Amino acid sequence: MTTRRASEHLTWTRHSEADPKWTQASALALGAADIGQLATMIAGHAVEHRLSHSEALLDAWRRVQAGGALYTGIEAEALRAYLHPLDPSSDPDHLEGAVAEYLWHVLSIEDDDEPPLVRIDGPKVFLTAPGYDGLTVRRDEALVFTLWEIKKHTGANLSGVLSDAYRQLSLKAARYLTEVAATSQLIADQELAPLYARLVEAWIAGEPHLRAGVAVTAQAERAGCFHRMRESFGHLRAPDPCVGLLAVLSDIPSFARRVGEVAWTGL
Amino acid sequence: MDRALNRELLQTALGDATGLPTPRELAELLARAEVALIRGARDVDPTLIVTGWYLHSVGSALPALQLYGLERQRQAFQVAGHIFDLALDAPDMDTVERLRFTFASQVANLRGSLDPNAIAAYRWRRGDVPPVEPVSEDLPLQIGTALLAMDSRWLFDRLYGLRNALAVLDQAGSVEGQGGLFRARTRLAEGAAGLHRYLVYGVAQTLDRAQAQLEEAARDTHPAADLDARWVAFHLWQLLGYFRESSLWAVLPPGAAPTVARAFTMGQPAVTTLWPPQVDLLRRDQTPYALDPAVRRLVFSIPTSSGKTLIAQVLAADHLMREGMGVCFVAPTRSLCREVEASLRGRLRALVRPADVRFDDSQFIDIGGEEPVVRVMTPERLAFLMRTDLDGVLAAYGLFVFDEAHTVADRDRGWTLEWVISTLHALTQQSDHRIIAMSAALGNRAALRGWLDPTDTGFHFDSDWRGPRRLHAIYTTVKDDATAEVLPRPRPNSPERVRYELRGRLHVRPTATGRVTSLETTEPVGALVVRPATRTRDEKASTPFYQTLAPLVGALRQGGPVLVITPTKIEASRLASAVADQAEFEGPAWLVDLAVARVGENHPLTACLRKGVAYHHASLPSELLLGIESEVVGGGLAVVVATTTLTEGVNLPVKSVVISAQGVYGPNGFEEFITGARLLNAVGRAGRAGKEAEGWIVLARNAEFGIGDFQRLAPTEDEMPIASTLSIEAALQELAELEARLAAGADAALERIGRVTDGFVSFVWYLAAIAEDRDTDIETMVQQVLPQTLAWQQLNAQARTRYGSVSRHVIAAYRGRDEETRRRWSRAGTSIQTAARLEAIVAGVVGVIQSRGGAAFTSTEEILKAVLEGGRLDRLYTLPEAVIARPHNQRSGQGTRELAVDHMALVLDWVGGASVQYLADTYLGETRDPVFRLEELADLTTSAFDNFLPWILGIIVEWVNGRLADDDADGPALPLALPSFVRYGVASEHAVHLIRSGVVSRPLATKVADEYAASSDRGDSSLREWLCSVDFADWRGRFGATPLDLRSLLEFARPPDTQLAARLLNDEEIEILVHAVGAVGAHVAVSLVDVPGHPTPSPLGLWANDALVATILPEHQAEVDAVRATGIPLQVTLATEGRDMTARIRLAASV
Repeated sequence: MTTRRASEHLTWTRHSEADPKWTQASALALGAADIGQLATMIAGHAVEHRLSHSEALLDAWRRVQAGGALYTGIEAEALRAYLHPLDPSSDPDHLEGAVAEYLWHVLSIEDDDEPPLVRIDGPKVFLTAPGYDGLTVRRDEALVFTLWEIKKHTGANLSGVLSDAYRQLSLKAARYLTEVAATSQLIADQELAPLYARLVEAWIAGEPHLRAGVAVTAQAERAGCFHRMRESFGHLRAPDPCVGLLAVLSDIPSFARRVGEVAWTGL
Repeated sequence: MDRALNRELLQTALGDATGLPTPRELAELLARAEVALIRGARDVDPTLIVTGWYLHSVGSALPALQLYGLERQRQAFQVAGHIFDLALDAPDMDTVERLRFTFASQVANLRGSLDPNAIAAYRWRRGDVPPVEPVSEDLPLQIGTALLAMDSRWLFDRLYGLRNALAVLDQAGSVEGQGGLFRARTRLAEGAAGLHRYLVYGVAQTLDRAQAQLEEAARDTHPAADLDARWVAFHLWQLLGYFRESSLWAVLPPGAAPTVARAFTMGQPAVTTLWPPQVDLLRRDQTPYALDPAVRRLVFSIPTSSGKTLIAQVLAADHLMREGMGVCFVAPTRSLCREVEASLRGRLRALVRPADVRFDDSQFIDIGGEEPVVRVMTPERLAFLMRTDLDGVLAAYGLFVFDEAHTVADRDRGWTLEWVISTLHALTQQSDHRIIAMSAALGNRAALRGWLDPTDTGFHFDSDWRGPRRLHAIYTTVKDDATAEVLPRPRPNSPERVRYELRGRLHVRPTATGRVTSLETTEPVGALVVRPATRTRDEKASTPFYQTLAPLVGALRQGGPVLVITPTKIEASRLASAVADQAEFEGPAWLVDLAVARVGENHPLTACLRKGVAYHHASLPSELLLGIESEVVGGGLAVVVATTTLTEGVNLPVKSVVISAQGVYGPNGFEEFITGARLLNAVGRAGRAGKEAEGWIVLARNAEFGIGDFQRLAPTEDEMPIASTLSIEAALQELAELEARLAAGADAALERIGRVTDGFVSFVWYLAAIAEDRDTDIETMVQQVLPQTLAWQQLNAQARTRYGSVSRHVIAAYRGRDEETRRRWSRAGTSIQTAARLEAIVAGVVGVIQSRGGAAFTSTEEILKAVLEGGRLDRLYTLPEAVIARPHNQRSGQGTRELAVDHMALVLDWVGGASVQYLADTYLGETRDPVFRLEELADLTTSAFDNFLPWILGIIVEWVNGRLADDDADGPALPLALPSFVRYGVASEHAVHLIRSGVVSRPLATKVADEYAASSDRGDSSLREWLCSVDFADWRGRFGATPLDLRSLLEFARPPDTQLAARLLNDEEIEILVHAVGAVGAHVAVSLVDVPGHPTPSPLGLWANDALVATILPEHQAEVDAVRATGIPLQVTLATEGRDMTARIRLAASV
């Protein structure tokens, strides 16, 4: 079990012929133990992501996870700052949003059906901050940039959540990408740097290497989803200009709480 | 026209982008957004926002990637800045989003060379500082916005502490060579702090380190990217070149003392970077270099609100420190002089003793001492000093700065400025003296250059750069035909009259050639009543045009303070009252109280001020005018309606300027005078650089709208000629008449033709006296100086010959007088024939004094009677120089007549300290309208007592005392302060001392001086020492002082030799006595905070653990306050020794 990847816990359904094409990754079939395992994996993934380049803190976290010595005062203080979005006592809405973003991150990395991932940006340091949620760069025949808006849905009206996601992404994309473009053009990669620098122009012009993505974590599987996404991104000229990802968990609040509890063990 | 809506600029900025508006569409969108702002609608079209981000990203692309040209990138940033400025006005934006737009706007404006707009974008954040922690998500944006706005208070208060806290956090989560989650924001905070330290302290290595830190932050590769931190760091890093080039440290010459730069970076207000025209003018890498002492003539012209004054300050500060000679700063009006004095004093506090920066407004000869000083004065004052002691002037001042040099063309006063500059220019050709002429409104700039720098070896600079954009509009009214209503006839044979509602219409053209958008008021703004039979307007029943402006002014004030310029005083007060009638806000209570005290409860100004509306013209008490000016700047008044005396007198920028009319109906029909330089001066106040990115200018036209009306708002250079007053047609006619009389054998000294020839004769006379002083040939001197006048550049050869011929007559007349007389007449500064007439008056005064048999004067009244009685005052008032207002019983209409005024009694009561209201009631009681009565009195006292009488009395005092001394006569000398008594309307030298030290209020000066004189326990204390012995908390109540009064008294209270602020800013520790109010142990750290419960300026308290333990003594408060205002944190410790408690103060070391 421990050797399995997180994505292997999920049931994947590809809607490749749909417009837009979308993928469902569902955990509804999992029993309580597997759900717990999945939560632990997501927590570990999130912690490792946030503690990248922070080996000492990560070692301390692993030590406590393994039942070793408790955190020192300095370790605990630092970890509370580094892992703040996963605080199980924080606003459940924020915690669930953070878990949805990390779920997207894991699934994007582990989705072998997609072309190879060149870069993935996000989740960010402040997960509730307004701004784009993620940007993936994959190499198909050419490089494809997908700008992601990530949502979680615990209520009844999924289409409302999706509409919000489309609107935010279409209204704010230029602003999101302005910040990404300015900073990411600094990378050493000679092929990527000018593409990053031109991201805003390319997005507005709908150039073929730009796509819009919406990822939602919901509590029910769907036969159809993302029907109206194309309407918001009519200017994009990529062959598949829109892409959807639906992650399904039976109980998002308790799953998110569990992720938080694992991440914050000992804090 | 506004540059940001220029189609070519938009075309360049947009390039050939697809998916975006075309340049035409973008111009339209921007225009619509601008017009919407006037309507009060503040939401911006989302397409504009998207375009803004696109342009921002174009501007942000690294040049190395060669995606866009540099010029396109600069223009893209300019347009992006414009869009984000508009977006910032949108309501309901959350704080983080507003911070993001602010930062984007700041970057775009700085990189688009529109620096002040970067500070303006920050306007909403001042006084509204969101809380911030090291892990606040908006921390990077808070740092970025504060740094680009140079909010030193926030940066000193918060940035350094946050930087330290972040460093600890970062350390805990990083390993060698790689940073953790908070590395980007940690390096951003460090880099920003380093950059701030460089800008303030000039430590170059901190800038190099900052560059590395910001780059590291921008390049941070942590997967959970702190994108905002990286984005902010990226732009700060990219702006380092800008900071390197525009910082004060970069501009000043390598040899300049660091204190010069610190005077600016730590002055009040702090200036750390210069605006583009300032950088262009002062940059080191050009020849000639403006700060090179070898460059001795500088002429520059920069629009209003573009930083002209700061350039002069830099030149003055550099000169003071390097040359060790004084600076003479000449400004055209006394109110401007006061303003220049205040800003220079604040600025130079780190360099010289505050007392050495002074507005020289006295009747005395006070050129300066051994130490270099800065004197601010009017051209007339400098003329007086030059006539009295030219060599003293040249020895004291090495730099002469002439502000508003275009006033050389002023019909009334231009000649004085011209001969002063010409004489200095001619006589300093071989010396190191520097002359700077600057102006915002120069027409034929070449003429001024040709005059001051004929060999073209000096420094010239012109710029049209402006920070805030300008939006022009024309306001008219139209009758609404649908509302026609036939009015009942008062009498059966009365003509038929029809009444229409009037609508206000605002024609806005945001682009030079684009479409005009017309907005119409939804409610009527007045009524028009016409007689159809005769097609005439019933003036009485129709709403006056000015009144229809009130709703427009009310709407404009939503965007910021509004200045309305009216052609007449009466229209100013009426329009202000109409605006106040519709206003629903409150004016500052202290100003209302002051108005009640000075002009009365029932005066319309008082009623206006209660509603936050003011009017401002020369016939109001000066303290009220100063109070109004300070409250417009401070935000306490939303609307001020003024005549052009305000725009010519003080620099009072506002958001909107409305010209209610360009002229008035006179005998020859409608005569326009708010045109050319005067109009430019007025509309130049629209848009406060650093406070808003846009100014609105509205020209109201009581006529049908025509597209050509927009041309009226942009006078061409041809409409603002700089012509010598000797060269105009009227002058040449005067010259012809003088020539005729001289040909008939008249004495050149005694002929009175007119102002121009009087001025010319006096000038030649003066040159003759200088030649005599210097033991040189008179003709040679005249031939040396005359060709250096502006007139000589502009007159044709024939006219020059004619003036030359007259000069020979004058020289002959000069030689025809005895030496003592001709030298005395030269010093007088009057026309020569007036000087001759004064001889008889002086003889009369000497006779009166000698008849006293040696008895001393016992009162100022007695002295004034001795000098002015016996018909002498009346004779003085008939001199050509006396242009004394003649009060009338009513403004106009049938029965209007001139009043007979007992001038002698008025002088005595004025000097005796009688209130303005008492004087008006007593001397102008026949004027029934109390408001007009006060205005007439103000005109009378201003015209008689402000300049003329003090000036003439100064001459009389000098001549009388000279005669008495020469004759060894037995009689008391006249007091030298006599002219000041008359000018200031006070009867004691202490009151004069207070006023000359900056106290504006005549009643306050009298009150303080009287209390001092009556104080039984003052012992040997000077007035200043006695004042400081009074508890500061009691000043307000005891002296009836307003906040402005208190500030001026605090300045006065400062010991003359103190340099606490300069020492503190130069990193010294100072130790001062404080007033103990509680007990403390040895060396207790305390904080310096205002004592609550007092209106501003409140006493400064020293607090230990929230307990007030001491207050700063009044003599130190102004200095300590000046340092506090810089935002630099102070470290204060208290110590008690015996009965004395002292405070040790230094700059906090933490930064």
